[in-house]
Amino acid sequence: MKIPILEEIKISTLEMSELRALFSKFKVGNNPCYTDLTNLSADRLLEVTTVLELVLNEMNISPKFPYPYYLITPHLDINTFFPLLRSFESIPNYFKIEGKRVTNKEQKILDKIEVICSQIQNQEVQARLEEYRMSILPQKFIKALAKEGMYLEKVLKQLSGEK
Amino acid sequence: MNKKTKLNLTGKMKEELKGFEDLIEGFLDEQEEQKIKSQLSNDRNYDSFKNYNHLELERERVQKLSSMISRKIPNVIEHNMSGNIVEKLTSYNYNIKEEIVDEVKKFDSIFNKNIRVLFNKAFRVK
Repeated sequence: MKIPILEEIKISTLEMSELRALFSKFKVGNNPCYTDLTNLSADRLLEVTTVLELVLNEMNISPKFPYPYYLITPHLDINTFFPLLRSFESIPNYFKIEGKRVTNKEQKILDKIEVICSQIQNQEVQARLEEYRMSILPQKFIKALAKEGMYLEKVLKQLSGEK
Repeated sequence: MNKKTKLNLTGKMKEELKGFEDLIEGFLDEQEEQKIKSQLSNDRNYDSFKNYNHLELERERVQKLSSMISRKIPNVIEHNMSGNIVEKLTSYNYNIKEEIVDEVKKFDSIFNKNIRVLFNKAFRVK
């Protein structure tokens, strides 16, 4: 495995077989990547992300974990499972490092990272995240109930204290 | 360890520079920092340490991600307490509401007093 360094993927076609080959070439999921889609309108962007989602789902790759695949666009409100960013500068500097020759010691760590990454990819990451999102939905309801309880306590305290 | 450079100043010069100590200290610190940075960039090992450190951090990050996805999230889903908490809070709120109604229903409660005043004012026999 190479050191994971941010790479740009330039998409010139929406043909699924070519996209699959492109994603395999850039090792999406094993390497942080980004695609600049700033020149696309919101409708066109939605079409493109739909196709990209289909390809990644087919390849069982999550665009978030272990390595992100960012899309750069000014339309951040569209509904997609890709991490969207407004500009290249918004990408975390953590991934913007220079590629260097690795020593034996570093190679060992990279091998470990590769094993852990494959463990992550063996899980159904997207499904897990969706399940998690659904399981934490009642939290908002709990918050509202707790808030109501506190208000009622206050009212009761005032009523019994006023006598 | 880095030693701070000390300036040898005469008494007269010290008096002239009175009030500017913080400014001068900040300037000297900045110079010291730049010196350390240039020393580090000249150091051949610095880059390899940086690389190694980054990979170690990366290993930790990926390890944490793995444990989150394979252990923590399934745990949270399996042992979800939300239903019980909602039930408890609902019954707690219901009990408090009942207590509030009991308080309001009492003969000498503020609510009854105000209602009494209102009625007495509105329907007084002239």
